[in-house]
Amino acid sequence: MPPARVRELGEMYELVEEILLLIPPEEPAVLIHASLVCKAWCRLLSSHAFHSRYHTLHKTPPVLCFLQRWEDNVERFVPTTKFRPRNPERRDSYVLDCRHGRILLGCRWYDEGEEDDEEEEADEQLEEEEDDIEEDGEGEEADKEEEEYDTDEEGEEDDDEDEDEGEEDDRVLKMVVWDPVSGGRTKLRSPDIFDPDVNGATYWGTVLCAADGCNHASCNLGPFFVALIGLDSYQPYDDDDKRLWASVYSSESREWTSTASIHIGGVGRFEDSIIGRPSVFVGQALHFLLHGDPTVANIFILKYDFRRHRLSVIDLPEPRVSSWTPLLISADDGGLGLVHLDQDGLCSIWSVEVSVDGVASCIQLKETDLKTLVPIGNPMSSDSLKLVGWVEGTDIIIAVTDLGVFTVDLKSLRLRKLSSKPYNFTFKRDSFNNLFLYTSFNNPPGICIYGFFETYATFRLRNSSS
Amino acid sequence: MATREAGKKMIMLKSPDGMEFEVEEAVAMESQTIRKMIEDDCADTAILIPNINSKILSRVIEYCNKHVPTTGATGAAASDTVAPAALAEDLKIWDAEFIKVNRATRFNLIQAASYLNIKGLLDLTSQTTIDTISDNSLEEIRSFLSTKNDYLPEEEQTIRRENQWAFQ
Repeated sequence: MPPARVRELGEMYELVEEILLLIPPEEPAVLIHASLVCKAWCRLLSSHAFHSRYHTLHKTPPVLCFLQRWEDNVERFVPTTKFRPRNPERRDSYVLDCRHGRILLGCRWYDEGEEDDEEEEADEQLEEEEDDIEEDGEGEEADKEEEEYDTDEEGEEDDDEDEDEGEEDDRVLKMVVWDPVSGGRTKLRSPDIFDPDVNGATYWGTVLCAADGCNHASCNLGPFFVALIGLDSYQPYDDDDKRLWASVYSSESREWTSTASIHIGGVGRFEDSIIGRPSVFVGQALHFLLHGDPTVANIFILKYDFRRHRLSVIDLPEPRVSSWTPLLISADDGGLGLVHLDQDGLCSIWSVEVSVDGVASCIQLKETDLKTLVPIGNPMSSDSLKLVGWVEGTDIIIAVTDLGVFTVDLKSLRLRKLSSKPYNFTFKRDSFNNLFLYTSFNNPPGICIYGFFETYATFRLRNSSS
Repeated sequence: MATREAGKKMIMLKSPDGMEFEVEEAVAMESQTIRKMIEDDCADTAILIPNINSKILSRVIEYCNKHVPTTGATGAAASDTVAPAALAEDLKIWDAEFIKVNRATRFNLIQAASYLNIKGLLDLTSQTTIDTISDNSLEEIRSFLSTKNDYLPEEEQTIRRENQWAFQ
């Protein structure tokens, strides 16, 4: 009997899978190298099964970059690994949210021709690449069908569309849902209700995975929701007639829901505003913070119930915050929490209970001295440390100082330096309160033509059967 | 090869080429596959380990001998006097030496570790392979794995261009 042909290691796919699972997530380039070894490896790395196992094994996706918005005309995407997005975002855009592998960007509502050209250039370049991939090009019909999931080409079509619609659209807030790993972009226009010209109008957006029961291991090509919440007054400076509204865009229906709105009177005496930070998703509801009267530093919780499409405002009696804006987080028990930093650098963590009649009470859980933990160049200055974000699903908060950007695990008190870029505290920059960490496993669905389309096809199949 | 010591249960492992290895049960149970056989009472006489030749099996046993928890195991490491950190460091150095083998042996060890379900050995051998993928050019990786590149040149170019960052 002739001896059976011995398979080479590269062909023992069951073993290869075990090995490739051990690729460290913080070295995304290795995943790309591995998927270029051969097509079979690429298919393996792009498969949903591999994504799921990789996610289960490594649990927390690595931080591929952070996104900041306090400096104009610089890349928002500040890398912390070798990973670079395929199609950098427009420099005049600003980050509204970053979740489940997607980034929600807002764009200024007055189009500037120059900037547009810049983007088109980038699009064209990518379009050429797309052509290479698509070989015979499945034509426009196919493109339209795939609109939500890609592509740069599609993006350009949208551009044209925008232009066609004339001047009226120039003032409309545009949003882009961007997946830096696959390079996919979906452009949306804000719902009709939104009018940025209303005096004192503030708004904030949230992007969420829309797949049921998803573990967010590889849902970046899947369906998503964008929720836009706004606060405006009908007449300028009329504190008694403030209106809060909410509308949700679904990538599947490609439409905004009808608007939910409530009139809240003036919750504060002066300018109410939605605090521009990512919302916290707890109990099927999005939670934002709402600034009332800045002179007494009162803060309210704005709740948007996703299931019932209903808005409410919850008074927050404690803690009385000083000039700093607290961070809204999800506490250990899965409920709401607050992190508050006082001027002495003392960080307190609170859990927030909301009773059935909508009254909140806060219980202090913990206190940590952040000034001794986070490196600060000039500790004498009262504004040398600022909290700018919380990483969903973790106990990690993000702090900036004049020595750089840091993450702090509130449980283990582990400190990690993300960047040495100092945060220069200026009056202008202080109005920016947020910094987002982009975390993703960067499994290469978008890197490989075969892998990408297979994953995409599987995804479509799964969704059409459910 | 392990020798019989008083009070320790021994297990006989047989390789397909007819070699027999007598090992302590605790050492053999580093392999989850063998552990299950023992627990299911399938190991009365000798356990035949298919697909793993005597050369590889002896290396696997060597690995398990070194990694079996020190309490009540072979007298090689005196855990009473050595701090756990130092012991772990010692094991790391030992592992690094252990894995300095040729390509064919390493692949066989991966297969054996996978079949016998020895997590530490699988991690060690896999990690070495990942290091190879991380540190070498694509051509070197393919030749190391004896894998045929089935990408068309233009396909490979496209992927490289779209992911330039990964090749810098």
